[in-house]
Amino acid sequence: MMKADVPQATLPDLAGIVDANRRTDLIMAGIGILVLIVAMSLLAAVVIDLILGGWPRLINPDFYLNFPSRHPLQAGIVSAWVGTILVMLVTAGIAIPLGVGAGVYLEEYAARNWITDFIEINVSNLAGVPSIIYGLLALGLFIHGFGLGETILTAGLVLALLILPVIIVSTREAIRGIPLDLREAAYGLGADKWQTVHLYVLPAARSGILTGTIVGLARAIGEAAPVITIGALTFIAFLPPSPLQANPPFINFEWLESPFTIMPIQMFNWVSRPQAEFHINAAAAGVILMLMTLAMNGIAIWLRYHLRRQIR
Amino acid sequence: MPTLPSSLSPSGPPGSPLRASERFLRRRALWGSFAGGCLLIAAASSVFVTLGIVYVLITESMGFFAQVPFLDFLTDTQWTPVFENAHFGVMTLVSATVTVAGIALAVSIPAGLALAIYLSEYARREVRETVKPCLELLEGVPTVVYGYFTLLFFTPLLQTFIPGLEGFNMLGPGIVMGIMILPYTASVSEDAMRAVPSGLREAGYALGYSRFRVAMRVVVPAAFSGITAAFILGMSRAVGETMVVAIAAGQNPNFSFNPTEGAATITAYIVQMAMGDLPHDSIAYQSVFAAGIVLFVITLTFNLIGFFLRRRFKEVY
Amino acid sequence: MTQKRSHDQHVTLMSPEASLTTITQRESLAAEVRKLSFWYGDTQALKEITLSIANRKVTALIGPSGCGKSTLLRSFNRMHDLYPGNRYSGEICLFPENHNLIDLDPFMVRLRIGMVFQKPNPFPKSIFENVAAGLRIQGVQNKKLLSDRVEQALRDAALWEEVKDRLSQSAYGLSGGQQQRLCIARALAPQPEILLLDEPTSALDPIATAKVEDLITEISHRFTVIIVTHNMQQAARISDFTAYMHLGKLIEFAPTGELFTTPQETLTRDYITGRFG
Repeated sequence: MMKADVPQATLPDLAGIVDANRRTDLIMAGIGILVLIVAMSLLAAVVIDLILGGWPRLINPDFYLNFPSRHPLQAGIVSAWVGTILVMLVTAGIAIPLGVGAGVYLEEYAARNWITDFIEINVSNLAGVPSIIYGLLALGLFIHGFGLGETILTAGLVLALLILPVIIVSTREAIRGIPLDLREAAYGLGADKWQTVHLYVLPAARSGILTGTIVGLARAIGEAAPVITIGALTFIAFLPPSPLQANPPFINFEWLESPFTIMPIQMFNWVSRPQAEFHINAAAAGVILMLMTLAMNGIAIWLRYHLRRQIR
Repeated sequence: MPTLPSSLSPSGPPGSPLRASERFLRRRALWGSFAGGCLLIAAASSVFVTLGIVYVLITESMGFFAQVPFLDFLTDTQWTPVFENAHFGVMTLVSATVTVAGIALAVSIPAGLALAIYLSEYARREVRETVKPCLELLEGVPTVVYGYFTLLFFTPLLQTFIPGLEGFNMLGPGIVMGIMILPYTASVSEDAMRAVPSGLREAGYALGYSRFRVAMRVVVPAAFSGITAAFILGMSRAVGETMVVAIAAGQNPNFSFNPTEGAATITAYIVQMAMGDLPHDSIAYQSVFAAGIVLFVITLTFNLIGFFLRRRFKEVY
Repeated sequence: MTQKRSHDQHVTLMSPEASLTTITQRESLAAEVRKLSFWYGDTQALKEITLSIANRKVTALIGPSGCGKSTLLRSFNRMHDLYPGNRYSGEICLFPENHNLIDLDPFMVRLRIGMVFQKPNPFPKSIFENVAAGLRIQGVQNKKLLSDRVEQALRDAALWEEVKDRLSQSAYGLSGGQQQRLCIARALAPQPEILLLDEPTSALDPIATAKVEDLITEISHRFTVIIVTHNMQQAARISDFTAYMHLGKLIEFAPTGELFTTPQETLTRDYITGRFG
């Protein structure tokens, strides 16, 4: 019998192959780690650059209580951070009911048909629409169409629509994570769909939904483009009227119709100026903005931990 | 003996079980329908948003397209809507958008793929679970901050290596954006790779493949549609990015693919215009929406392709 | 027709071929299944089942995997209606009104018929809230009524002594056996007309199983129980009547003692003697 002339690999050959493989593996792992290092270095560089750049103004208490001004050393962020908080209130008030409601509907109520499919594709697409397009929507429809004006209400509305897909998706994932037995137990007791959803499924999904919501809001805090597009002015030397008042009914809604500015816009305005002194202000504003974002993420983590331990 | 709540009524002889009354059942059904209706409206709201966007983009730019020949819109290489001798070549803006996004992708694709391969095929679980949240931090930084960083730190840094680099340029924002979208491209790619069943990998290892070979010859091809989706979606994000380019690439419309120059992208133009006062019927106002339509169509195309690719890879496994 | 006498009832039970059920006392039947068939999509899982459920007795459904016993059980409380693509034909009539529960609103049916599942599934709430759940769903808010009913249900489930001092603690702090007894208490609190048990002890250790079996025997004096079990000895221990099912059909139905000692059908005999299943 003739064996075909197949070259047999000798042991030294195999050892060579294994060594070469090991080398490529190391290189590959090395590249991956390198990329990671570069990315993290960028993050560190950004943070350090901001802190160093803005330090002189950060340590000055006036910065936090002053209004913007033509003189860089007197300019402050009070109208910006107050504006941010007020706008966030509106954003949360609109985005949370709409987003959680839509998520609940899509997960618990909607049948598997083409309409549901269409809504899903739609939500997925909206998640990828550039934020400035939302600004155009607000400019054309809310400001010129409905005549809403360049107010806190409009800003809150446009940011709410922007983060709607994020909240819908995280609500759906939180609900999807609730096992079937919980629902069967509730239905088994005679609960109808709404009872099952609001008495059992939603409370169980609470922590996931809240986390997703706060992540969405943290994103909204840093968004400038859509709010600039609706015409938020950057030189706001006053505070919007307070929502709280001394006389009954103790809350008013005038602040919703007030012009305003927000932190990212103030920073954008300052960084766009040629004078280096304004750049210091911009950096300081950036630090505060990042702290606000970090604080929100921190609240999300704390809430997730706290809710896990709480049983009613 | 406490009195019966109105929701229950006795049925049968004394001692037999209490039953939910007809009235209670009807009220419950009504509440249920009401709640279901509200939820449906919430779900429908997302459709209204899309409809609103499409409506606004079309109606507010109609005046523009009535005045500007479509061919000029697509082929002119200058974009100066507010000048006396106005030009309306949207390609001017698109060139900048494409250049910046291209640079971002050139950075993000190799880096994201390498990172994804590392996380999916090499890294231990603990490493992966610490790295992923760190990457998310990159995404959590507001884009104005990246803009500041690019203009005042990164560009000057680059200028020490590249003498001809202008103060406003497209290279800096491109690179920074590439790293900015890294968490996104890397994690979507990694999801796609992890969805590949280990059986396929084991087949490769059993043949004596190294990790690298298994990654490149087995996993990446199997996860190809998911990886492509990751990059298409990353491209969409790069195209839609506004603040980084508005701050660091300049706001001067300039038909150019030269990264050392500054140029206004579609998004930067829109922001710039929106900061001024735009009377509703002016050509300037309408040009903003015309540019917006182009942006929307580009990102919509990418998003749909990405969505269906992702769905496909989820189904396959 | 065969006449059997059990305890103090005169009940005529049918063999599957006959189609008559005569009742001398109306109250002695809790429900009657008449030619019930069920389809999951295109697959027929139940084939014309006809069966009587005696009031305040334990009826066991036994048979090999896939015989349809859980499917039959879940038809009683219309759990199948939660999932699309399912179809019934035939009747399950509840006494004394003799209404076909297949025609009733399923949410309404589930308010009257309780279920305990194979894997204990307490809600992520306190022990008290778990047991009170069924009552709250029916709109009961009166604190005294709730706490009385909760206590009664926990006593019925032989759990009261163990948890009476920690009613406000999480149900998840209980052991597996305790959780299952909690689920039984939860199902009992609204005083259902029929209690359905779907392999309630298959996830429990022998000691917990024995406790549950004891309490089933106790509560069957006041509640009608239908239990699905893959454990023949369990059926022999605690049930009054046993139905043997095979591939979607009811093969034999008789008082437990008789089914196990003198099974009439070959298939029944083979299953009981362990030739398959």
